[in-house]
Amino acid sequence: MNAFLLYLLFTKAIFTSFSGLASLPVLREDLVVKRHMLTDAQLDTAVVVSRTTIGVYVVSVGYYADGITGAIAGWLAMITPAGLIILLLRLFGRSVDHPRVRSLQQAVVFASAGLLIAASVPLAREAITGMVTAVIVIASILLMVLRKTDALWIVAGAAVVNFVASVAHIRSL
Amino acid sequence: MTVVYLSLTHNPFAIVALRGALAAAVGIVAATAWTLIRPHLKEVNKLNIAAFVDGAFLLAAVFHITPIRILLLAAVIDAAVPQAKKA
Repeated sequence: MNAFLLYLLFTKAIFTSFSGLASLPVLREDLVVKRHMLTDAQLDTAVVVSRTTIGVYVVSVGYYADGITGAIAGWLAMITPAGLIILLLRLFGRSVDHPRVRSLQQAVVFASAGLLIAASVPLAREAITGMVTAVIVIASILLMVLRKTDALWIVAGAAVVNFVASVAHIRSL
Repeated sequence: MTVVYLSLTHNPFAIVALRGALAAAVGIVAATAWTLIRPHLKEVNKLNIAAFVDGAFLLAAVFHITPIRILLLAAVIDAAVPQAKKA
């Protein structure tokens, strides 16, 4: 795939979201549903990579989509808003705190939240392979929402739990 | 790190652990929705939040409308009825 097109797709996803994973539904629509460059499992793995390292998930998604070139496109898309924010603040800085602008931003954030939940459904279909993984999904949600546990510990703990559960299952046979 | 993860997919022990991690990632994605909403709970009417969240979910999951269109629709609706968002 054209690296520049990949960069544009990443940039579109990042510009239509206001924080990290909120861009995931847009990326899923472009790369998984429309262009079949990734599978839901690969997208899910990219989330795992980004949550367990200091990396950002668009770089990982880019690598899955188009190797090193894709990762560079993802990285460039990631830093583009940071560069443009100076210009945007200069042009619209006074409008940021305007009630109408803030209200509009909130509406898009709430819609992003709904889209994230919708995007997690096909990811769950791929990831839930039995009772243990189903429990891991529910436990992960509860740990993040109620305990605000760091995602790194949740992912690491889930890996250990699934491994131990599989070993226990094999031994019981 | 992505390359490391890819290389792990050939190791059967790592695959089992990775499946657990993938399940956790699904939970993290779903929980991120809550982290997006939480800072606005005191400021915005909860019914309006529910309307935008549920509406976006339904449009995406049931009617398969693209995310960009849904986000634009949310912005248009908010611009049309800004007074309804006051807490």
